Amino acid sequence: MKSRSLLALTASAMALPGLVPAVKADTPPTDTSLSYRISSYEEDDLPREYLLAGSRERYDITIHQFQVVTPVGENYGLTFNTSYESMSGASPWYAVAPFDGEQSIVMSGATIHEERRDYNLGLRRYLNNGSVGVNVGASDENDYESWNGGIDMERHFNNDLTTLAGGFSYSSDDINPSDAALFNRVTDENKHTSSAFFSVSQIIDRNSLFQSSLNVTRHSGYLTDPYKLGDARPDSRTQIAWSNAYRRYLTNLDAALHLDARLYDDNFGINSLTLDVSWHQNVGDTWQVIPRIRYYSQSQAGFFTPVNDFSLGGVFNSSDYRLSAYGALSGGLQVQTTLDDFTVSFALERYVTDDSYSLFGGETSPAIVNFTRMSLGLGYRF
Amino acid sequence: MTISIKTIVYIALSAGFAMLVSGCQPVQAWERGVLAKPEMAIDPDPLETTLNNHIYFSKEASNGGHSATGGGCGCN
Amino acid sequence: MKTFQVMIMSAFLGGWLPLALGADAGDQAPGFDLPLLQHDEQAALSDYTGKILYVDFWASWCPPCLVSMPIMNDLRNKLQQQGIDFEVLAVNVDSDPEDGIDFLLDAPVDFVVLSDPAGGTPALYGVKGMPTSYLVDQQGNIVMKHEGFKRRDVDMIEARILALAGQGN
Repeated sequence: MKSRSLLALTASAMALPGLVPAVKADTPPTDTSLSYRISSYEEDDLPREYLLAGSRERYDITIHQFQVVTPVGENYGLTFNTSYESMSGASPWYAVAPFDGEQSIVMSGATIHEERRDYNLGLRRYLNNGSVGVNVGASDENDYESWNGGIDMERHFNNDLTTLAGGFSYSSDDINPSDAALFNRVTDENKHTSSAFFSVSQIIDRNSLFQSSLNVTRHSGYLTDPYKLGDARPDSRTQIAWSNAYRRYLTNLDAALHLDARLYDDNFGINSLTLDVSWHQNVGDTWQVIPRIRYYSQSQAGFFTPVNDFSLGGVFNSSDYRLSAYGALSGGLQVQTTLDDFTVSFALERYVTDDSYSLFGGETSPAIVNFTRMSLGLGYRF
Repeated sequence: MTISIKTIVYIALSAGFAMLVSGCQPVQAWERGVLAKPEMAIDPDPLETTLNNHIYFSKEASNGGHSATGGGCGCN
Repeated sequence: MKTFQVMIMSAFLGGWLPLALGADAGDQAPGFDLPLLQHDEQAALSDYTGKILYVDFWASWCPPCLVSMPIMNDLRNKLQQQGIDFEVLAVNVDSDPEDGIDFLLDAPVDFVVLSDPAGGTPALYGVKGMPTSYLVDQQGNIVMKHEGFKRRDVDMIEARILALAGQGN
């Protein structure tokens, strides 16, 4: 049995949405493709002026992703995804009102190594006018286990110029927080999530297309973060997201412009806007350079307070920075090259948060996070 | 039979709407080469997109994109 | 009629009307005269009257098209060796013919490959999906129109060609 000092808390990321890429194509795959990606990202240390106790060093995370897409017979495509994630670092435990200066965040202690694995298998049947897919998956961490399943379908209309798609997925998660007895945490909780989406895609002309999607998700069960002292959240959450995507190819420049916008709302009181612009520039026949900018802004949850209010008793409260009002700006660059049947890619991204970037009023947590990410990818078709 | 102004307006609006929806002239099957380019896909790099969604989800309150992704949802 | 209903109908008609033209089984195969993709020569459909023809519209960006090319090449060579007067006329519709040429450099074929980047010929034939192929008999009539391509389709195509060869001269 592991022994841990009082401050050596495991603030694991809990189960995150599965690393399950959607594979969409009009026809079944004609060859097999293997893809691997290794990514490393580091969160900036918590600024000294906000730290009251604990470790300033936030998460360092390494993620390995692996995907196989292969035809099965003439009408099916099979996709398998798996990922392995290892993380270490400290995260905010609770926040108190500063008595001097701005020091209010109490972080968890010395870094602990955490691991997460996930798996997903999907089968897609291609028909004359569309396709149907089913998928099942599972994820596993030392304190969080989840299984999930989903079904989705798409149908083409109007000589394939218009596509309607929809799907449904369900997941059931079991939460067993570490060191439960030591820190008086809950043991053995459950949460389940149902999600449905509907989308319309339209080809506008030979160089451009547009897609609009609506996604509704409902979570029920234990939604509180057991690693955050005094955290108490409702036992149900409904979220709705409306996403729009535009793709346009510019012939003279041999580049494609991607514009994505998403509006989000939930019953915790959080609204958000996400804007994503990327430029896919072909260089010669085998290189592609993709700069990207993303802007994100969210409002705060109704029950968020920058400082924990331990007097509230049974009423909902959280000082989790992820429920506070803030904006984030990120810039990235990806470079890809193809050599015969191999593809190599490299990506760099810098993500910065600030309450001045926010569109919405509300309170910001001092613990909002910045990070830097690097990824290296390899692909092979045969 | 005389054609009323109303009918003309209907036809004009409909033609306009049809043009808007199919872009003046519909894109024929053999004209879809550009749309088939990988850089014109809604999601040209599924591993990158999934990675980004996973990372942003762990730091932000929002989730949901173009499809219902697999489960194992986060704690926010 | 309600405005909304008319608008929806027009939107669909706008997509379908141009495709009311075209050729199907039973029609005379529309004629064409196109340059070869890889050589400085012209070829016309009428040059091949009397042969059983497989007129195939393909492009480098269409995966099932690329699957069909070597398979149809093997079939064409096999049938010609058996003495059957059969030819494939593959019309490449890449708007940049270089893309079609690049594909054939990696996977050459022995049959006739033509180039139509402007797309007049597929429009004439009323092509609705890629690939689409037309099996034409010795008198120039379309006996079969085939959309899409799966590997096992080759058996069915071979059977139709042998049937025509049995009937014809």
